[in-house]
Amino acid sequence: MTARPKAVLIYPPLTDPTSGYHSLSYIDSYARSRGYPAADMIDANIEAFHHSFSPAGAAWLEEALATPPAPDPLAHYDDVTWQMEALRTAEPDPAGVREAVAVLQDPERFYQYDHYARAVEQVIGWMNCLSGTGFPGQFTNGFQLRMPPAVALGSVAALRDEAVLERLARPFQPYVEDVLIPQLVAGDYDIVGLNITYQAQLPFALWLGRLIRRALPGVFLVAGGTEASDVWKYLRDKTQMFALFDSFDAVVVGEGETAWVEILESVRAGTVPSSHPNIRLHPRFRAMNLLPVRYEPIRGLPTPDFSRLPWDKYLSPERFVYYSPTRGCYWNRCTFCDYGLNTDGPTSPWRQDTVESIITDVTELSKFAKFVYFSVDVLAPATILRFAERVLETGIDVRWGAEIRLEKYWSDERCEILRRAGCVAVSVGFESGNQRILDLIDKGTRPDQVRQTITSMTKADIGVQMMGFTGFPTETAAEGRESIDFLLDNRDLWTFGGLGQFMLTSGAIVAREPDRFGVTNIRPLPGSDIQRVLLYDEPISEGARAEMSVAAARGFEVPHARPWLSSVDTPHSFFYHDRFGVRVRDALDRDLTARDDDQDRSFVLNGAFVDRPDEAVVDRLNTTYQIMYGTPIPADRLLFRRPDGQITPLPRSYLPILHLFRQPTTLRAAHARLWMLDAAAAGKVWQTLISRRLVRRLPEFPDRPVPDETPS
Amino acid sequence: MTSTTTKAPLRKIAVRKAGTVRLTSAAAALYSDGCLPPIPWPF
Repeated sequence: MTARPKAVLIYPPLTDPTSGYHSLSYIDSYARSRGYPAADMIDANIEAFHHSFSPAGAAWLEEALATPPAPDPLAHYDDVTWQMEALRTAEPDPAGVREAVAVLQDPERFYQYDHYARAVEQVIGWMNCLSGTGFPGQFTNGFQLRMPPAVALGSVAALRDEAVLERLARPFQPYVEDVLIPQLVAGDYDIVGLNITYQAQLPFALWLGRLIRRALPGVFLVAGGTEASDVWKYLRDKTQMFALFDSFDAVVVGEGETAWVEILESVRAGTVPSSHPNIRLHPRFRAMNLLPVRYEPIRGLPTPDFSRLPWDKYLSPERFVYYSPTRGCYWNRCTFCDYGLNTDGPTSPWRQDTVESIITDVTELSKFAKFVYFSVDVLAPATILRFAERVLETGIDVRWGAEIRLEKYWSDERCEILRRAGCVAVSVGFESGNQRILDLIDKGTRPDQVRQTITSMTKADIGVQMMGFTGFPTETAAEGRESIDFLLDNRDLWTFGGLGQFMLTSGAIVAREPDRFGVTNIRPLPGSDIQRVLLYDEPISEGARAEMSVAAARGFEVPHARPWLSSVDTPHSFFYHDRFGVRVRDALDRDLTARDDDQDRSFVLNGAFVDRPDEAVVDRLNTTYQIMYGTPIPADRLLFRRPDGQITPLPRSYLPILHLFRQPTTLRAAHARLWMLDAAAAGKVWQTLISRRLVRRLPEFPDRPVPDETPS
Repeated sequence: MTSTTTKAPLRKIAVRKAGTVRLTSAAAALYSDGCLPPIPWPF
């Protein structure tokens, strides 16, 4: 007889395909430690991706793309947008994406950047194809979601509109209808839980909720996670919560361990989980709960068990698990911050486990996964150092990374201890290179001290991934440029990173005390019911904004940015840091450079020329191109599309040169046909083609024929 | 951003035989001004 209650926990798309997230393992492990049966776990994000290039999935995609798109339920996208979508999308190549998955899971080829970049391009190209069955442009850079504006704004009407949800989720329809729903029906579950960590998962979760409710009318359906909590936090009218989550019985707001156990216990007892402050129940239960959320005591939590996730499916050669031995931030003063599961402070209250518990957990985790990422708001310096010392004393073999504050505590000697204990990279918010802005942020740091800290980290061979932003209220263009200059002047002291733009959110101290920051007229974005971002007036930073956004975008193009599949601090960046240390960019550059040993190596075209689209499309493309680069796309340029949909405008003189690589050709053979170029000029040509990946090196032993991508 | 800036010889090249490539002075654009950056998608 099945142990009851029988539960299944699901990660909906769209999220990181390179590793499993930890939230569901945490609540499941906690429930098991309290005597409840283990829940089944489904990562619908990665399962749907794999299904999409199965024979059945690929056949569906081909048919869907051959059918003219149905009318846009939001009446937002015009024909020009669809033409842009067509412009970036090549024919679906299911064999190519299968090959890409094999490379990303291969512990050798993964670390050869030629192979890696090719695989990433193929995955992105495949996602572009899937995107064409939903809203145009909805999948960008692979697994990032560009939502229709009404959805991104958090319009309850749009997020309740079944036609909108269905359209957005259409790329995953075959998996959900043919695999997931039948699996749930066959599973005889009492409880289905959906974790919504990222905003990009929300519309898919709402859509899944509706399908699950129809297929399993009697099941207890619950959502939770950071994004579910954010919806509650930012929803202007809290009574709208279950207008959004109308298919769900409950939403857990805030941390989930004890709330999940209460749900399990209530379902087992045939009652309603109405007493836990973090559980918001559907109004039909007539138990409206407006209690402040409860923060969990994290000491005594069991070691999370990640074994129930589908590790053979993730697009990585190694296991990489997330671990949260602290919650909240010990500093908790930054005036821009409004992070995670907080309520009345920049982050949630500061809690941390003991070093001995952390050592016990990491000892266990290291048997399962080579990489452990401390998924925390921040780690306290003394705790990390003591942890590292204990790792060295106990001999745990683990690689790890974390988000830390740039404290002057981090001397050369201490960084060396971190490195010896397996720390391969840290992510840091340097925020700004200007002291006045740092003081206004209340960051508690100085640029010269930050430089010293990242110098120590770099000397110890710990990669530093830098994050900052421009546009803080009252920041002038000159002050913003100091942040860009700080990064560029210290380019050897960080590996990857970049600058974002300040956005005001309601929980930030800036929003609570606007007078201190010259901010007036704080107001919601028109049409937003979930008010994640607020508009405001502040003339100084506003006047500098356009210059800053262009300068930051241009200053941090590849290879400064993060060239990995997915967008955030991905497992892939840590794998590469582990393999190559702080010289990691050299490993990338090596394959993006024409090398001496390339002369007798075969190269082949990496993409195809595409016809120049209608002028209306070019005009639309020029709206951003002109701003970014100060020039429109010249009329005489040819457009070359890489497999990832990236389009480069090329001089016409590229055509005959690239034609040489329609069939595999060595550089020596190509140069023989370009005999009029001297060696230096030819070298420059190869460098352009290779660095932009317009051609690619062929593997020594290609395992599939090269398709003829004859340009038109 | 990678760059290919260099001054290459501006040679007028005629087609000499089958299999060779016609290049004109426009080819100079290839390695004198480099190529423009990729197009950001304004979806």
